[in-house]
Amino acid sequence: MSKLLQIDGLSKHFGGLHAVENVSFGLEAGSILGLIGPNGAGKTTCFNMISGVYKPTSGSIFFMGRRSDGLPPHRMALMGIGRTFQIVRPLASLTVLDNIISALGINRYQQFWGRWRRYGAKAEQKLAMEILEKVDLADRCSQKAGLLPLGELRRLEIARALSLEPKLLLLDESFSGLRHEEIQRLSSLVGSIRKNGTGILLIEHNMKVAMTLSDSIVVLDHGCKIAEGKPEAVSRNPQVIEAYLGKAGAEGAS
Amino acid sequence: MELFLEQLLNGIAIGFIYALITSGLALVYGILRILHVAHAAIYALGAYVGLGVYLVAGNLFLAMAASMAACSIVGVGIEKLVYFPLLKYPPYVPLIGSIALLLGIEEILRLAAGPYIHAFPASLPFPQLQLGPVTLSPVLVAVYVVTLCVLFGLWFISTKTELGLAMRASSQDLPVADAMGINTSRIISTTFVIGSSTAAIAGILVGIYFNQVYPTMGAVPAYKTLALIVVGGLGSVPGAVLASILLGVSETLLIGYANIPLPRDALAFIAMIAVLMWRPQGLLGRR
Amino acid sequence: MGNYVLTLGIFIAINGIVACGLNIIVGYAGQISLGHAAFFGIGAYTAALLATKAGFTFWMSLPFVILVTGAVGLLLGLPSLRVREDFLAITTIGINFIVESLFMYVPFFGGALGIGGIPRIVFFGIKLREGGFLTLSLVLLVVSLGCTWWFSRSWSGLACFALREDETAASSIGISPVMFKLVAFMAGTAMAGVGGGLYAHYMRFISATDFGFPVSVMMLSMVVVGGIGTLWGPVLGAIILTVLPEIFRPLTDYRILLYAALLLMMIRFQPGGLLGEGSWSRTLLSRIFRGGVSR
Repeated sequence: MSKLLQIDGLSKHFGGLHAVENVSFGLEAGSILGLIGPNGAGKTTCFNMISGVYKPTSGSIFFMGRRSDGLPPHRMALMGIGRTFQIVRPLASLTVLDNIISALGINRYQQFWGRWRRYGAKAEQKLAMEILEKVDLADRCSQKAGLLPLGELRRLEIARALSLEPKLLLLDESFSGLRHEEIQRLSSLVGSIRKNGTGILLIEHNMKVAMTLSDSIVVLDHGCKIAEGKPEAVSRNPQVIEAYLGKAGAEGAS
Repeated sequence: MELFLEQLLNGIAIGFIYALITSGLALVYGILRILHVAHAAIYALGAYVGLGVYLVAGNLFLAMAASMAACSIVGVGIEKLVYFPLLKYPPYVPLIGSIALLLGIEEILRLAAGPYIHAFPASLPFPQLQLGPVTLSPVLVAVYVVTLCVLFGLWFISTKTELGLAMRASSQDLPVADAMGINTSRIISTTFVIGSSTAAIAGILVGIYFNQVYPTMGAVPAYKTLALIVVGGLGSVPGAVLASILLGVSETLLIGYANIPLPRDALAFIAMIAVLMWRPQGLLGRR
Repeated sequence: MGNYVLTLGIFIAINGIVACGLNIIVGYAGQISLGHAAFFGIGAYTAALLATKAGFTFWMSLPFVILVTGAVGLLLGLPSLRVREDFLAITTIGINFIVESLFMYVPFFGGALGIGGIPRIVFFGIKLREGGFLTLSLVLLVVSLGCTWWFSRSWSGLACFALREDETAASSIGISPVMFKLVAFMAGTAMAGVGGGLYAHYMRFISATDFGFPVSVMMLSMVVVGGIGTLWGPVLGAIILTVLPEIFRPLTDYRILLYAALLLMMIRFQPGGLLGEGSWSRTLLSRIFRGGVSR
């Protein structure tokens, strides 16, 4: 069974610093994989290689059977990978609706003549509103995106990524800085995205969210994978506990 | 052979002068990420103030001190009144402000002192040196000595003092430096003081070297030094110095010695584009 | 007196066309270009050379002017737009200097003496003098504005806006930064070329110094003063900055200083331009017309 996303022996060295060392894991379509680890574990670096920000020093990334490492971000989007950003990046002076429409144009941008056509036709606006409804932002459609509060901006990021109809969704700390109700809302949204068959890879510091949402977990520490498996199993793994709490904590736990 | 040596030494001198002007620009860019085109106006102002004080007081050291003071005041004034409030806007905003300042200051110099070229007949406390077959005039010696002293001073401040450490930290990451308790506002102003002072020294040296002080003397350096900080690696003072020396030597040798019919001033930009193609981060730039 | 006003109008129109082009690059796509005058010059020289050396009429050379300036824009834009923002400003200044040097020193372009004897534009047998030329220029200005408006409503325009707002976010939704920066750049340079063609046929004599860096600064000032990224901003800027030096003409000695001071005040206090969001003029107008100002 071919996985949606397959990472093999991925490494990233920044000079002498081995940020990520020989990490491998796979992600199935329609499942959620949580990438966790203490600070400096290399999760963000790993994530950035998958999303095309960094080129791996060695190893390979296969998306739907095709090599995707080293491709520029806009190619990733074309292949069907959508992502959010840890520090939200709205298109601030555009309206919320236009933020979504801009993501709907992915095919138009590639067409030689298509890119000169008017955007925002009725059909596109309708589709954009449907997407906004999914994330509960429909009433904000004509507001300038830059004015929205953080929780709504995070939902906007997800809506924008969803507009690509992605097969793989990369969530970069999308739950950080949110209040409890917002976390609940976002969790059920992510769950429904998974139901549609999209694969989701998320990095999270919020352990509760990561553990409850994910179908499987990969734990990194000092750039290496130290555990992989179902959330309950991983949370009882002594190496994982030690990585987070230190040796004393691990001994205390056992 | 003599001619070659002579031209080489001239070229290095020109390079040193470029280095003096450009290092101030590199410092400012390093800390504020602003292309401080008006720096060239401060350089011209330095030449005028230096000349004026020298003509009145007859003392070159006094002239230099007065010039450095005047330029520092103007430099910090520009930073506080124009650049700092505009930091939150896209980079072309402070850049246009800087260009407007360059134009304005040049005009003020022209209106105040006239559009003609003034001579700067200063007697320098330096001897004539004989280096083998080549004679170095006192002015040339002055350029070498003063530049080396200034560059040494900059290096010393940067690497051996707390101020230098704070400056380097601020130019790496201003908000973080601020959070670490560094008084970034004072560091920024100090950077402008240092940069403007070196510009003042450069202005006086150039005025004496070419025996010319005129309002638009900053125009060509304004844009050449921009190319130089790109070639050197934006924000890198050693890079700026290296690029400056290389350009000074190339300009003088290629055009003065080899007589290649290229417009002298375009060489800097051609070099810049070539460097950008081959090594986008500049000669000594980071990343 | 009548002719003087007409001449002023012609320059406003030509500057407006070139400023519209720059607005696409700087205002829509968010790329700094401080070398726009180079393309103004390339358009002018193309028209001049085709007219004097190949006997082309303005109408025949117009498509070539657009093609050549667009092509050079592509050529120079390709390496330049890959570099970081700060580099781009300096690179475009460099392009301006190098192109100006080429015009100055390469004999084919007439060297320091430039190119003279460019014929008037003939429209259906009538040689266009002041009035006719103004009409033509205004028509082309309207066409430029129309193209700009169309651009802002197209997917290309939306892609450029996205790039301007946040390049990283834009590329994550499939917008290739290099591609669309180039598209905007070429659109802008082609427009500048058209302005250049008009300029050549009006002045009937051009030389390298007409297209130096100060001209680029003037053009950017027009866009900035008028309102960067707005449709009418460049035109307003062109009007203000073409008329202003004329108003200051009596104060010949203080002209440049006043211009610099005004530019400084403008950029310091109204960086968004007169038509930009939140500017004094817009808030004033919206107070007068209660219901708010539409763009």
